[in-house]
Amino acid sequence: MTRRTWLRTGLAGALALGLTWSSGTARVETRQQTSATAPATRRIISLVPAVTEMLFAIGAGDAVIGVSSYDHYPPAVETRTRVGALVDPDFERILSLKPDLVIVYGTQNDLVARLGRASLPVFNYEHAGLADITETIRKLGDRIGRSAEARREADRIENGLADFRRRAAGRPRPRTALIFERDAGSLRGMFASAGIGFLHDMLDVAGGTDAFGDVQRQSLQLSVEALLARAPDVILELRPDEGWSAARLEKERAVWNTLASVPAIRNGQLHIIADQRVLVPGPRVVEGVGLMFAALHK
Amino acid sequence: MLLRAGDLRFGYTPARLVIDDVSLDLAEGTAVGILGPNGSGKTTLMRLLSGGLTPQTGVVRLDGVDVRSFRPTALARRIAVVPQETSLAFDYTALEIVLMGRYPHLGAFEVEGPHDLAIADAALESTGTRALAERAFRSLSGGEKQRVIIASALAQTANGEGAGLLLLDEPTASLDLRYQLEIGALVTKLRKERGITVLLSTHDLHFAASVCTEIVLLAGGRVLARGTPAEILTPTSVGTLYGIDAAAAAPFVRR
Amino acid sequence: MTATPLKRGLPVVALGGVTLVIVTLGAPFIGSTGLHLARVFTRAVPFADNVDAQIFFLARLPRALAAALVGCALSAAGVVFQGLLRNPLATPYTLGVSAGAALGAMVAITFGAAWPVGGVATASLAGALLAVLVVYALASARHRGLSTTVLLLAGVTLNAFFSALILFVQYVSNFADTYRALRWLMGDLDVASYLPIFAALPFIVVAFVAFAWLARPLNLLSLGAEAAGTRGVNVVLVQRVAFFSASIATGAAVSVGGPIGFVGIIVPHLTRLVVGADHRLVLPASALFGGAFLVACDALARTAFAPLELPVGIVTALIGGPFFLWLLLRRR
Repeated sequence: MTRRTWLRTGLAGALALGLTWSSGTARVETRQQTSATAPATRRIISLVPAVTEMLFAIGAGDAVIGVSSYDHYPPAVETRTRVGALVDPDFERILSLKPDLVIVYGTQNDLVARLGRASLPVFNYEHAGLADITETIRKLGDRIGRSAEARREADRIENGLADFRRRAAGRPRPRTALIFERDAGSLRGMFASAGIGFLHDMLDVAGGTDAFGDVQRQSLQLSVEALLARAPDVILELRPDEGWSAARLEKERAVWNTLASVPAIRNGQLHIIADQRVLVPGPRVVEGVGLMFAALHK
Repeated sequence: MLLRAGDLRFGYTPARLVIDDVSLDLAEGTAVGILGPNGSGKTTLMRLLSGGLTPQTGVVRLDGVDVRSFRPTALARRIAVVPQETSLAFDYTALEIVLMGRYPHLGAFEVEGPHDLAIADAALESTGTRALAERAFRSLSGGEKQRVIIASALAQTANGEGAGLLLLDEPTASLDLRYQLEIGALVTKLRKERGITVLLSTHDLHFAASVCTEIVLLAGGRVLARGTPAEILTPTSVGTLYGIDAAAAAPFVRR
Repeated sequence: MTATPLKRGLPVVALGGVTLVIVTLGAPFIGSTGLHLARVFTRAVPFADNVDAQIFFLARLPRALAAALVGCALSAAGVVFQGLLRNPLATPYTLGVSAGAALGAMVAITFGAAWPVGGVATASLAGALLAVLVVYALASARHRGLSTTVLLLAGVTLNAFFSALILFVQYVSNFADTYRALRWLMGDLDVASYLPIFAALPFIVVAFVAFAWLARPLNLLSLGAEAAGTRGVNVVLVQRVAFFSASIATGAAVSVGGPIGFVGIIVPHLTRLVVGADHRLVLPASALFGGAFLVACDALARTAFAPLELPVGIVTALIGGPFFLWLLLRRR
């Protein structure tokens, strides 16, 4: 072909590409606009177990088509496709499921960028205090067109929490060490709540004072000295439900006995709560507070 | 006869023999030089003679006993090796290096005593390195290092069990002329004054001529010729050894 | 010449011993909580009710003893590895022992529920021993004895491979476990009981017996393997004993406190500057001063930002950085 023909073909090609791209962008914008006002979303992927529980709680469970590797509640999630988690989201699998909403952690910048390039709508989840649970539920409800159910669920949770706050109001507030991590069989690797975060808030609602509240951190690696010095009246140890037998639990409790000068140990106020409900900042948080309440105010 | 080696054969790999049918006698109080070009097998031969390598055929005998049957410490008390170069990992003093030569004389947890110190002192004295005793070995010049290592070898072989044998592997390879002469003079002095037997390998013709009582020409793992320096160091034999013309070799053999 | 170089260095070793004892026994007296010393040692109050006594004897004293033990072990192991590899920049971790210990610990932390026996410390010791065996097998595969180069290569290989495994384990674990694992990697001497110390002690004692025997042969080994051999040293045996004893000491130390860095290289270096290069002085002096050093570092770690605890590995690293800079500048 002559040079002029090459030039013409090239220009035509460039023009075609440009048109496609701009119309594609326009399409994206349109899609995003429409999904913002769309009444319902039918294909939701959730990388956040707490949010998965929220979705089921507001009746959107059927719309959930993909969950994270760590989702286990409600039981129905076991039938959903796994798409990885915080550190290892499976982008290809997410794409292949053709979702119309992907719920991600606010810190998953890389994933958010890739989803954006694939024009997939994203709901950013930020994990903070107790109040954020109900706020997230409301936002989620608005987002997927289930505002009424979301409001109902959020109100239920807030009423439940307020109820516990009321019940705890007249009672003494024991100084409590809230420990959520410990190497099994020893007193090493202990991490405690220290004044900030949803675990602290739960404790507060249940009527306990955070023994390390003045440190003002979400978590504090606890040395034996620090625990002995603070001498909490109650120790609440939170563990995931590993299916331990009563005998095993008793063995773990016995590990604490060396610290006999701690009032919590001396007075038998060491409680191990092995239950997901105290560890997931989701709809079951009221039950979690209930477990703490029962331990604190036996 | 102090050291006797017969029909030695050795190769690092099955394919290639580095030492091929070498026999050697070493009389007490003599200085024998193994002369040969690079790759002739000098270092390997030294290792075989010191018991460091096991020959595939043949045997090396010290005072009639197979060197391989000695306990390592017992053999070390008779034979000391002075390598071409010594590189130290840590900052030892010259005295500490010389005292290391006393290792084969001491028990596992035994500490050096006055006797060992006296021997070390004498060794430093003989090699003219007494003034360097407290100096860091790594800070010494090449010639000084060699003399300290020789002192260490003297301390190692100083005992009542029999004459000491020093094996020096290319003792002048990394030294300039002045230090070459120094080492040469030292070796001769040790031989004459202390009755040390010396076996050295070199490719330095003049050094060999001035220090050795006997020379063995080694090429391709075989002995080419053996005799006194006067007999051996002729243009023809040196030319054959290095694979060059006799005429070309002549200037290097001239005295 | 009146005294051998060895005798002249003995006062320094004695000083090291005294320093270690004073620092280790003194460390429990300082901390982030003020203690009433009279209450600590009184017998009038039962131990179970005595907070001050419990802080002293349950929290601080085990910690000081653990720090002393780990510091001694890591420093001495460092010296032996440096002698074995003929390199003053070698550390106890060069040959991959700590990677094995770390992997064991990660596995226990992540899959802890499925690992019933002994917990993190035992798993980490098992991992360390596994690493030792693998490195040894790799390094001695071709011929008898342990060539320095091959040892280094085997160690580097193991480090790389186990590091990949460690990353993988962290990948599959949840937040809390990953965080816990990271903190373990930074070093933690809050042993909370005397048990880990007693568990590690036999290994370290055996290693130290071997070190005593190794001291003189290591001197000769620094002349080179061949030169040592011609002086009557059984080089293969010395290399094997050095490798295994130093690895066991390192493995035991890491199982107690995690892979605390820089102790095994700073202390031997500084010790050599003072006592010279003779291993019969460097080994005991490094061990003693190394123990004191780590006790001091741990005391700093637990008091600097109380109640926040700085991982002790960060303190040693903060000292290690400037130390290496100083070394570098010295050479110019």
